[in-house]
Amino acid sequence: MQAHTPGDDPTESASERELPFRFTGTAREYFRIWIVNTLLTIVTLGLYSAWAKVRSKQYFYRNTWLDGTSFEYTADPIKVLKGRILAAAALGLLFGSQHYSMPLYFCVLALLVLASPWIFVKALAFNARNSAYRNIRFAFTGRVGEAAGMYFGMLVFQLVTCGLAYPYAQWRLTSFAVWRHWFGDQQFRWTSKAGDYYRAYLLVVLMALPGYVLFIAVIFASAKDPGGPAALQRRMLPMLGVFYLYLLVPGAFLRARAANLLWGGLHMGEHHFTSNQRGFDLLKLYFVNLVAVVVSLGLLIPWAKIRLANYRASCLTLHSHGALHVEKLLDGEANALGEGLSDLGDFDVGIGV
Amino acid sequence: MTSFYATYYDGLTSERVSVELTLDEAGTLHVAGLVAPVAHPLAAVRIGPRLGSTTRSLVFPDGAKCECDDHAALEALERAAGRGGLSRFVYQLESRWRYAVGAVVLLSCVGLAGSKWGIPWLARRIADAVPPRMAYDLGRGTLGIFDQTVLKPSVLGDARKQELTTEFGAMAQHYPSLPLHLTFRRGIGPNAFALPDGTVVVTDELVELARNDDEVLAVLAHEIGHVHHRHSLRMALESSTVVLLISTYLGDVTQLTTLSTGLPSVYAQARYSREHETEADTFALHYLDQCSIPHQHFADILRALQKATGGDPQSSMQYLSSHPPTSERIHRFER
Repeated sequence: MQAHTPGDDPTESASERELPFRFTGTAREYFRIWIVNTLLTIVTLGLYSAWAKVRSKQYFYRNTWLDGTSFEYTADPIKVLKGRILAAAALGLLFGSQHYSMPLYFCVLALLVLASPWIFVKALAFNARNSAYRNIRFAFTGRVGEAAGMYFGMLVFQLVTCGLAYPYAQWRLTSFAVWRHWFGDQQFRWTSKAGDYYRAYLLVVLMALPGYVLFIAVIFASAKDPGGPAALQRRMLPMLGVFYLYLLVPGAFLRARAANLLWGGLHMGEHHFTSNQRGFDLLKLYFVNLVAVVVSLGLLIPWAKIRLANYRASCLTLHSHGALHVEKLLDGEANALGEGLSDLGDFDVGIGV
Repeated sequence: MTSFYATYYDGLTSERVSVELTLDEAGTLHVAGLVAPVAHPLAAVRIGPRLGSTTRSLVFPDGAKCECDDHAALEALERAAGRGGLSRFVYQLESRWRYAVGAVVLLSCVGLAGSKWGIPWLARRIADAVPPRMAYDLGRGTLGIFDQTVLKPSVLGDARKQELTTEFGAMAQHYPSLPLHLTFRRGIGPNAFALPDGTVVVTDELVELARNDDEVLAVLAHEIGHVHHRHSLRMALESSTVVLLISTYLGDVTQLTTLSTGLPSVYAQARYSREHETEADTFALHYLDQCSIPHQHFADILRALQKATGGDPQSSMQYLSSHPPTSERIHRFER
């Protein structure tokens, strides 16, 4: 296959274009999809959840636009359903064994932990394979062995360093996930540095620290008071609520930073992305969403999700050098890279965003 | 003869081409506007389901795809192909406000009725179907976990234990179908609880708190009520169903999950737990009547327990409490 090099056409290579992502979903439309999804899922005792998931995800993909074309989610609900049944069986086994015997529970837990790199790789592969733009699919070519080595290596590294390696581990994991992603025949590259992750986490720790210190101080102060455990419990609940709200602050800043590092470091061919999410904006979004969802007893969940998707898209820009020309990854190549094995199901694995 | 415009992607490159699609009488879909004209039998073209006002795609057998916003034309095409009935039905449901409002109403009814009657009914049915062998394993397993974590061996004198065990044995004879068994532990304050296998655990602290055996027996009668109604199994089933349902409803609103799934589940579980306690109290009341033991003993031990553990939570927290207010329970036994 003759790979296209974006420098072929001299008139194109000179032009840099800023292509903003746009989100066009509306809360009114998504609310109706969401409520029907929820009702059908409950009426069918969960079976419809696979179709609900695909429709919901497709709605968000189809309403995300780049350069005049929207994204497409092509997963087969039956495969999603199989994955969900498998996951439900595993979780059922875990919770069931919890009531039975401790050794059995720990065996099941250990098996699930051992399987987590496999789940991670399968989930990314499934998601990538079923994501398309202009009829060109994404692909994830990470291997289970590779993922397991890194995953458990990072686990040991974090244990040895008492958690100080956590930002580094996050960076390594994200790096692995990004570098193994392809769009057609173009491999993604990533330039965010581990140091950036340390700066982000340092900021978040500094923001969260006063809250933790105050919380612990208040617990100790009130533990001395007479009144027994019931009185203590009584005082603890509102404090836990305040503390939870306080934790939205570092949470929002961390997510904004993590998203900017993930997307902002992303390169594909001659093109690259920028992301300018701001912690304060995200905090306002989270807070209003939380209040709205709680006050509406959940009915404003679709509105909250649309708002978030809207904000995320509005912060993301593709800087293209030359035409956005990509070719399909040949089937032979794809299979050699392990793509053919990825038909298991959708599990949401977060990579820090 | 229907004609409409679409964007064509060949699936080999990311290039897009504007094309005109035409369906002829023979059921062949012609694509005009490419370098060379292309045609596919409509039966071989996969038409993506309609979803709100979003772009739909037509997938051709060669992997090429058309994306199109002309919803009227696509629906005509789908009808011509005689397919998509089910997805059109779902689209209809999703596109009208009256169905959405109906869904909200239906969902609230299902939610309220389900949590009030459906889940407890289902849990009772399943709990009744659990084979004794499994209930035995579950009970043993749970006690084993408690022993390794919070419970310590009893330090009560053997004679005292023997006394209470004999009295418990006499009580158990009223319920030959229940595999009842009494055991003593220490370490969690004055308390007693029942396990799925019929084991009733009573703490040294409770035995010491009671002023006479009838008070202990009244508590044990309440615990036998839990065994009789299979409350521990039902509770496990009820709470896992509630958590499952709430997470289904809330979905993946990740930044909200902890609080928003946590609080409603705790509330629902507390409500089921209070219902179980009331059921067990009723059971104890009947037992005391049967054996002509004055109700006052249960009221007395409840009062002593209330004093020892620091009283009821304030009224605003009662919704999250696992037991009904002690004053109400005492009142039932003093009537």
